[in-house]
Amino acid sequence: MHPVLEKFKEIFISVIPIVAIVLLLHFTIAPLEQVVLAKFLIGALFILLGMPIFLIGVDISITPIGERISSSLLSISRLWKILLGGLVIGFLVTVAEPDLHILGRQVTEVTAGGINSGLLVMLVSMGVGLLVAVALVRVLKIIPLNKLMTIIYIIIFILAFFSDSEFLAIAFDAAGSTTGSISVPFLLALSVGASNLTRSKGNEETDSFGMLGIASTGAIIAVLLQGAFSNTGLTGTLDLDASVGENAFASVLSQVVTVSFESFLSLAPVLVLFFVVNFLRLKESKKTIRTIIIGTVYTYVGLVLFLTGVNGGFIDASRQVGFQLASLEMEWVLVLMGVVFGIVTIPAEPSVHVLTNQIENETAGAIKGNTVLVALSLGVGLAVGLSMLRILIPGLQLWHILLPGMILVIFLSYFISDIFVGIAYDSGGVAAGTMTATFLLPYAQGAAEYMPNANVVTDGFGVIAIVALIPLLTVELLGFIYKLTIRRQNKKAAKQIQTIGESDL
Amino acid sequence: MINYSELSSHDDTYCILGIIVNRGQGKKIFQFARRIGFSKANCLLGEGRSSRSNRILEFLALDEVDKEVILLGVKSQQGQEMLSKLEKEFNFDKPNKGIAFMMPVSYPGTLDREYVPESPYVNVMIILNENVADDFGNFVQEHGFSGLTMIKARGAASIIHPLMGIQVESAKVVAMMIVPRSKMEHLIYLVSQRFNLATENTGVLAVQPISRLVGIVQDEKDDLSMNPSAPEPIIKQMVVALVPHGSAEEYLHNVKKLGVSGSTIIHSRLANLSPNSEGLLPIGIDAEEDMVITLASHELASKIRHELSRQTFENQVEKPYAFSFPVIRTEGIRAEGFGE
Repeated sequence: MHPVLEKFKEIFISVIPIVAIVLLLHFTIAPLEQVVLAKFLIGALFILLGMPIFLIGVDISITPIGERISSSLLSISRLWKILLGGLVIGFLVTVAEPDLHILGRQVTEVTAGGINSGLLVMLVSMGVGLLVAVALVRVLKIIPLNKLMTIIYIIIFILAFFSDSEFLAIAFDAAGSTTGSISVPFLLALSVGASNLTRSKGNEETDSFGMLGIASTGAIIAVLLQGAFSNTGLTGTLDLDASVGENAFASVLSQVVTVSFESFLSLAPVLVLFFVVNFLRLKESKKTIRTIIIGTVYTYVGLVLFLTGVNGGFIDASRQVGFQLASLEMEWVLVLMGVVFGIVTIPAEPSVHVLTNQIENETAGAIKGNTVLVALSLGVGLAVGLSMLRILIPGLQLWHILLPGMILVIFLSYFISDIFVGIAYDSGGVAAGTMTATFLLPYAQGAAEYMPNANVVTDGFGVIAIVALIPLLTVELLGFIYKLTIRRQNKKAAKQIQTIGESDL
Repeated sequence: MINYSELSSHDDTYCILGIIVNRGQGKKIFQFARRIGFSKANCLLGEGRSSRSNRILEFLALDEVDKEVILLGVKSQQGQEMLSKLEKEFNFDKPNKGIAFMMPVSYPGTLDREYVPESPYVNVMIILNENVADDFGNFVQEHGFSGLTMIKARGAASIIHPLMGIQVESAKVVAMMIVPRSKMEHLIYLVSQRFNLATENTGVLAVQPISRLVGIVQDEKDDLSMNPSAPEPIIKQMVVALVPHGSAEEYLHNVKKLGVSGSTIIHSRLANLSPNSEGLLPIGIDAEEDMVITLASHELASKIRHELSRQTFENQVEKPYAFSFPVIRTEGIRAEGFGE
């Protein structure tokens, strides 16, 4: 079978579980409105078509662009130019991210105008740009990732201390929204390209990962700073637009225009950067440029189909499921289904496939993509379960989960191999992606809508924060298991080699 | 790979059984290998261009395909049987299913200064800088060659990074093409001209014989004649050393005093085919390895192997060893100065 068809098959297997579970719930305990169910199924079809096309496109356009730009950048011999380049790249890629603009508008709403959305977008983009530059310096100066993240997390703790606790949720939400479908493969490729150019004795591909994790913290710091200086609280409410329409297909398609425009915006900086760098330094052949342009078309078409599907079909369905399950007033069902949804949603996230593919490429297949996927899925499942608990238990606040979680993350990072530290931090950035925003978050919001004690806004914002954190822990745990297993394998091998050596005598 | 205990026998001829399939199909090959008794296999990841130059795929920019290259060390007799079984089980006779081939090794084994051709095919291996990889791929496609596999690698001849102030390894690519002998000179000529192999330090080309091959697309115009009574001189050895990942530099440092320079390092893995009964995970964890390729004279190759047999590395899962491929043709200025 041609690899293209294999890709379609792989995505089909990844997406079917969500569809199956929603259908199962519909026919049993959480029936959906006919229109909503129809929209969901149509949305699923769009995803099944769009995601493989998007992933194929990313592989032949975005990834090569990112790798070429970073190797160009890192071959400049002036540090300040590299930093400036990193800043510009991080800024451009973030400012064009549609999810960030949506978040900005939501924040203005919930702070009743206290925080200006335009300013938020600018600050977050600058924060990410700055941290992308820091990430590049880390590669050049071979600074271990666990030490760098310890310092960054300490800064975040200090800032969080001076902020309203709800702002922490918005800060993490901003981090989640900056790592979108285009910026993830681009920043990953930037990281891999930088690592390839600076490989040296004792410093193998350990630097290939970590940039997403570092860049995300830029968004967190930017929002916390803004929150600390603004002195506003979350006073407003959030209007969850309930779309009503009789024709399911038309309703899904109505997203196309917005999505097409937003996808174009998020792709544009990457393309512009490539052509500028190509003109100035790369001077690639016509065939390579042609391949990249065609790949960009696939990326664009695939992304539009995918986003139309999730925005048009999944949000309403999952919100209704959340509401229906909450209305059963069986709390364990709500939490259990949250866990299940968390587990089955992650394989449908395009960014996750990009990350697992890169992991296999960088380790010659020694770390299997599917193994990391399982750890990620379990992590997100746990995260959604915890989020539902937070909605159900009024006393459980966000920082009760985030603070120990972050401390544990830093602690574990000193006990696993460097490459797993990078993979873990990147996993956090990848997990809180489009599927989390369009399926897991609405599920929590739907449940919160039913509950009298829950606040859709604060509880909603916290979901992304927890989803961005817990998978970090499960992947680190995987890294720890790997380390133990390899140690055991090596001991056994050493004994065998010794035995063979002795028998030669 | 070859069990350590088998290396002590010098009566048999050995070969490396190579299998190249699309990424993702490797699992099935591993299952097959496990069934016939292998517990480990070496695996590299590469990228290829479709072996049938399909115009439609090229137009749609879908002609680049991710590949897996699996290597197993076998005795030649065993290799023949395995190749036939592979061909049947995986339908290598059909296009785009993959290829499998046997490459004779000089060590372990008895191949010395001459090789008697056993098949009309050869493996042309070209090591180039990574920044010309795309160019190279386009170039061979334009000239009608198919079945190219490119593997990322690092060059050990390092450069000082202007900002890091330390030696970094250059990014390389190892290109492999299995072509009929009749096309070999033409390919060498084209590549040398295009990439200035003879005059600039842009790359190295080395040709190894193939003793058997299944799965290649036969072009009717190909001349598949060969003269078994005309043995070819083996002019060099391609020494391939397998060391734990991260130990390549240590190994090269130790063999530097023998006169070795300009090696190429490929990141590979030693696939654990047996299920992990002891670990905490239900899957086997593969050990990462560095495959260090050095072009050397016969004497130097022997010294390198001897030196390696005395070394032990941290985290090794098997005793490191090197095997040598006979090389019947080289090109490139760096290929010349490797000791005589």
